[in-house]
Amino acid sequence: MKAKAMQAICKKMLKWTSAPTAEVRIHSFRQGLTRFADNSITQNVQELTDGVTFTARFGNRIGSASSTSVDDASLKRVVSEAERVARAVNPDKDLLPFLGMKKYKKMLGFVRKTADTGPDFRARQVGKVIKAAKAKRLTTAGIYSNSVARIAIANTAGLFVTHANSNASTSITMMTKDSAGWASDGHRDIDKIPIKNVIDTAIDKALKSHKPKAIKPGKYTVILEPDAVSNLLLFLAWGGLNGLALYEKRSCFSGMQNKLVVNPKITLTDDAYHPLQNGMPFDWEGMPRQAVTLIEKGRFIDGVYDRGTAKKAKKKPTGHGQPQPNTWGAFPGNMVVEPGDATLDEMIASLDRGILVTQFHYTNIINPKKLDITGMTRSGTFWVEKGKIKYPIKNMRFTQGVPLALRNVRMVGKDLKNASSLFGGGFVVPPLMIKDFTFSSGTDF
Amino acid sequence: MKKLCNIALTTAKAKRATYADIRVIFNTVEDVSMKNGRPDVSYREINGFGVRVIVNGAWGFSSSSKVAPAQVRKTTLEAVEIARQAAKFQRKPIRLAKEPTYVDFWATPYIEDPFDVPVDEKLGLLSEIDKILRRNKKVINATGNLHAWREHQWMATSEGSFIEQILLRSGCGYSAETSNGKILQKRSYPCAFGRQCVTAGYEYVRAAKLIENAARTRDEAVALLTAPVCPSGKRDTIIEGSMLALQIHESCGHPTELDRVLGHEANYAGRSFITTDKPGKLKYGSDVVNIVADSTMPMGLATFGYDDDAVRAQRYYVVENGLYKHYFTNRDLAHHAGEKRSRGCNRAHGYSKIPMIRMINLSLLPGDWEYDDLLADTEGGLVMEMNKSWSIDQMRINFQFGCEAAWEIKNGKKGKLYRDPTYQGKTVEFWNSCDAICNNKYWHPWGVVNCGKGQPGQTAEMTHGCAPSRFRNLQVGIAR
Repeated sequence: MKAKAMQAICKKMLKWTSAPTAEVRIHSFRQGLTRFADNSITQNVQELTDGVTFTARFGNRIGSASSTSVDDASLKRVVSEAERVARAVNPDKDLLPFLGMKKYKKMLGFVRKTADTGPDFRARQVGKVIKAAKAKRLTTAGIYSNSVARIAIANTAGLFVTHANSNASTSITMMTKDSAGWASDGHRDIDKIPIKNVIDTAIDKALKSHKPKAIKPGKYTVILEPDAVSNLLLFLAWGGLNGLALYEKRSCFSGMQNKLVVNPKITLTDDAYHPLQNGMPFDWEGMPRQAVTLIEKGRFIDGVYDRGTAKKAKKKPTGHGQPQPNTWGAFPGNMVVEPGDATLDEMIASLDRGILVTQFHYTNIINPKKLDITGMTRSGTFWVEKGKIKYPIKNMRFTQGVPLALRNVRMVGKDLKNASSLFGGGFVVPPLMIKDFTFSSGTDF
Repeated sequence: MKKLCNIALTTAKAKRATYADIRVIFNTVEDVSMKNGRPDVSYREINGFGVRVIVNGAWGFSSSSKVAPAQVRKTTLEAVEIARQAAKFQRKPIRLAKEPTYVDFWATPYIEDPFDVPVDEKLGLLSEIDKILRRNKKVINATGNLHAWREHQWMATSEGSFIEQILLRSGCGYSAETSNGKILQKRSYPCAFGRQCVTAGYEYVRAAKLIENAARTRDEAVALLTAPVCPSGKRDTIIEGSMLALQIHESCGHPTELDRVLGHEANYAGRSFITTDKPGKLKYGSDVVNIVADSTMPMGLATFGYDDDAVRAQRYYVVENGLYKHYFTNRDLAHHAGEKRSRGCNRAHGYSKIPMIRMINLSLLPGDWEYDDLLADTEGGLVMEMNKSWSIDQMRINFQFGCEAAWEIKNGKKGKLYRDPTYQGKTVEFWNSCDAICNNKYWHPWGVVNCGKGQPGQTAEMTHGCAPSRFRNLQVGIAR
């Protein structure tokens, strides 16, 4: 859906409502994704979804309704359902007035070619992956995807903002009978995905992972590649840096402002405007999204705040909020770790004994206050000795506190990647070398 | 609706599709929630359709939220083009297992439509629970939710099936999160992660004893703040149904999905240790372990008349007397398991996603133990209740679960309360260590509402029935 069509819907709905104040949020999403496994395309799909959410307010009573149908009859029903709900709920004294227009930064979010790419291009890219796998007698599985998303927010306080972004991504697993190697990349510009590099990396890891040896669980120095680092940070974002968690003293960093909480080599920001990020310039309340320093040279500065929490905590909102009534808080979804000065090869060369981890799998929180998490290594785990990768090792379970791991950082890599994990991410991170990383058990492969 | 569906089928046929189906889905969802007295109510309509075709032996799928004749035609043509592109790198043409065609209407039974219950009545119930939970100042967050979901779907296939189904789900739940500044603890009711869901009406919520259990839930959450950490070591452990359900899900359900076995999830959710040579040979569990897949069971979240392949719902043993027997399959992949008919496990997340193999309801059949007898027979052991965290490797072998609470077993009864209990193990060893399962008085269906799989990601719901069961020499406590 184009911005003009979104604006027209917003105007109509705000005109139809009998609520004194109201807000409309519209999203439009189109994605094409080609999935392959066993050296064959197994799934090739396209999705087109439009949706509108209407929030009606009668004083301190608020209610929302939404629909994926955007014809007039459906839109009128959505307005009336939101009003019905709003009239039924208890007053909420924590509600704030809707926000009017603010100044927003421009950002590079949308590349036309990425949005317009069809299944023929994706099939050709996947063809390259399958051909490379067959040439090395490997089995491959993965995806090649492109998408475009546009959102708009408008309200009776005069707000109308819209933003579009595009995204293309690939992730590839290459397998022998007893090993796997994985690599991925993504960018708003589909032409900037280095498909050959991704293929070569996955193949290299799969071949090097052949005949893995078991090692004993225990504490080891690890080099975590960016996708594994992103996995750790995801839990920090959820449990550590949400302003509401800090205010409610649920965060591992509650009461730690301006204190050294991790190694001074770590500086962490949330910066939607970083060239490798793909965020939006406002949040779901219409607040301009700010670049926020979360940790500076190891000292905890602060988290991110929605308007409601900021008011309670006597902070300034940072533009990371959810729509009201927001009982969840704020999320730093565009985190960036400041790079160091060593390449991954230099980090490996400087490691006397330890483990190189490609990615983690199925990680979860054990202790939310200490932010102890557990998960498995996956698709490329190697023993490093005297500066060289010696042999592949069988996958292991780690059980580790995230703040403690960041305290134990010994080196920060210089090459940044926008990296994700099974449950999310999209953080711009370098590889990290971490001392005393705890592995609690092993598995059979 | 038939006319709309026929547009897709005739358009696909004209473009030489050898198979086509269309699913039109109208979902209505209502969530009434409360956190620390603040209400949050949302009403959602999620409407759209998805068209699936086989052209040149390959699948193509396209979907749209715009349910209109012209859009159905356009989306079908897109699906055809997508299939043509996929066929260029398709190793073998798709083969669909045979299934009779059906023209049918099917719906989950209910007594009281949850959408007819006024929002203010629901908020009143949550408000009452909220007051009880927050009577102790150690409770920093009291959250509650009442959920209603109606899925109205029509499916038409080029083979002649036309199936209309209405699935109605109701759910409820709450939790109390406590803190003393250093430790965070939580107790939930009836289960963790927001709510317990079933296919039923609001009668389920009325019978759930929400008010009656609120004070106990709060008091246990407070007591956990001063409880000792669960000891580490090997212990005979009784795992309650509220935890065991997820154990069934992760260590039996997922590795039983045939697409995972064949490597289709190798890049994302993972594969399976139960390779195609294992059915009929793998001693998956002890003799008392009987695990049944069943999309016909009352109240199950994966209970339906027909799956998204238009295959009729079925019930069968996955594990019988400890022996591994059958996978979850669909029409496309069933022949890889040497089977002529799909077991009816193809499911999609709404209209917008392509159906894929998802576990259906999967339950551990009850044994013959009385709960008190089992406690008395497990002196020195532990009881663990309610899942708090989960993690398992991508082949589904090494797992670790955390629970909300544990108790020592002393003098044949639940004794001291422990906080932060965890246990870990390997799947086959674990299920072979099961030596006692409580009887059907203690058997309960537990809903899972957040099962993720696939790229693009899909969420599915299913139910795992089970009763408290004992596992010998389980590794408990956080290993470091």
